[in-house]
Amino acid sequence: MNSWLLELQRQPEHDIDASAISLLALAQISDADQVKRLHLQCGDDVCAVGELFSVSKMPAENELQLVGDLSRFHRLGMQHRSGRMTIQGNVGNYAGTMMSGGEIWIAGDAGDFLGAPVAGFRSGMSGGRIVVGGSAGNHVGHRMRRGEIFIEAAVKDFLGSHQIAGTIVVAATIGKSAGYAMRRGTLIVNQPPVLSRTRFSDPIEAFSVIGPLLERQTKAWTSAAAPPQFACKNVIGLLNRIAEDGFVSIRGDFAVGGQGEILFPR
Amino acid sequence: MDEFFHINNVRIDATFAEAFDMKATRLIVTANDRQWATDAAAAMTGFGTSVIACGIEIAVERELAETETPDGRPGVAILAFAVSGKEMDRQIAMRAGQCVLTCPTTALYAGIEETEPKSDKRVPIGKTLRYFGDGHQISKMIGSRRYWRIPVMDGEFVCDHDVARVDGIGGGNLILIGNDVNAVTTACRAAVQSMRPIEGVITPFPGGVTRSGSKVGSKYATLFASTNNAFCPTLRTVDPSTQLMRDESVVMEVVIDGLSDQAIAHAMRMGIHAAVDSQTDGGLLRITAGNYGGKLGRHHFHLAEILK
Repeated sequence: MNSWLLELQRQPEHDIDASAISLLALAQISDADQVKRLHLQCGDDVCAVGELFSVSKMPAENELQLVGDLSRFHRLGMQHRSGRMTIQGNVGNYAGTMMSGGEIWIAGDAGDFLGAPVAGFRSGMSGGRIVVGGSAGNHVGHRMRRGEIFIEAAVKDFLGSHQIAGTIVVAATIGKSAGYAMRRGTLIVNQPPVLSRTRFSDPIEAFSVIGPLLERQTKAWTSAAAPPQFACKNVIGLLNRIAEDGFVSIRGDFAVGGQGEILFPR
Repeated sequence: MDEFFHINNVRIDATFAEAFDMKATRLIVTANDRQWATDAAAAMTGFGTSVIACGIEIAVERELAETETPDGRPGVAILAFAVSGKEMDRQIAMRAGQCVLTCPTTALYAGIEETEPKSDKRVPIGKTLRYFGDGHQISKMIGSRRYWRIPVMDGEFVCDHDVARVDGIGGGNLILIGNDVNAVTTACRAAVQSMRPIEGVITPFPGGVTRSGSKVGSKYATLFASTNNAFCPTLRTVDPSTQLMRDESVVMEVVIDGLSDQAIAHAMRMGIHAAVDSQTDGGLLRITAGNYGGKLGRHHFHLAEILK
């Protein structure tokens, strides 16, 4: 399994479909020139990876590192299933779309539909972990089925919409309509969300050790696996508050017969 | 017994304890305070002395500090041994459901470290107990570990989906022989006490000791174990198979189950040293071990070798 470092040399003029930059594909390639020749959809055109990135091999095992502001690169980490992708910068929409395993670490901000399915598909993220060091856009974890998403800063509207299962932790503010049509799964936020009283339950205070479990296991995983630039401080801080002070839970979305839960500290 | 040696004037027979393969697992019970954790563990390990009639040999391995448990609360590690995977599944599910799920504030976790890839030999915990939630149970994956959250009257009962089953060894033993009940009791308690801190072993009988050691088979067809008449003092002069000598009037046995040969050998070594060093005023005469001529199990713990 080869590891690659791709450093952005120039910003593209159009939005890029970056689904071809996948660790699964690149890990099988041993020649840098072959990586440079990979085609990316660039607006109505195609361009080669080598036209935008410098490509070099890394000594690590099964890892793909991308450096630069990739806000115009969409579908990064599509169907990612093992190994680690780290992005030193921002990413566009649909990062980690339909991933089923492995890790994606994003140092900057993520666009809309993080971990969500691309059009025409029903199932979103079904395993693995995504960590975002900055903020994220709308529809984070849309149709998520399994896995974990940790976001250090704020997210926009429709967090966890149509979520089926899995865990999303947002350490800062969230936008409107969180948990819209969620069936199961857990959203952990740092303040009481504004929700429809008909679709979600009143807040419930109850005893459970799931808070301490989440906090300890996340802390253990991040301290063992986090690349040096990713501290995950805010997420760990929020989980720590939930572990120590307990949490309040809101259940729903009753409009779809959902049993999802939105947790926030007491 | 022809060959022997002495430690502190106690005769040690140059014989061996014969142990056999079992299925084993470890569970961790935690609770809000140590009292609830030990109460749940006591209930779960009750009636778990011998597979002869209990179906499982189960006991507390050790108490765990808050820093050692998955949820940071006081805990207890429990080791369980059974003769088959099927019986292990049945016993663990029943005991977890009736003894841990029922105890306030408790949670139940897998105590066997996962291998990569994950072992496919599993003992169900939440996989079975979740149905108690009557549809309100929640599955929660944290990393690669699946937990079940079952609503109960004090909040939620949280437990692992399952736990790995590993190979274990049952039937390690020491037989302590003396001429005074109090002396042999003292020696046995010292031996068991010395084994308590050892990781990976349990002594499942009451106080770690049994006075009804058994042999395989019986004159009654329905019994597959019966009293070990060779070590019964009341039969010493009437039973030609007796292994007791003059003045030997009390016999007690410490039975040890463990996760490895090394753990059992270490426990036996510690136990022998503790027994011969205990204050028995000469009442402890001999230490030997139970075997069936090597026909029952493939694990042989020779006393002379483990004391080297």
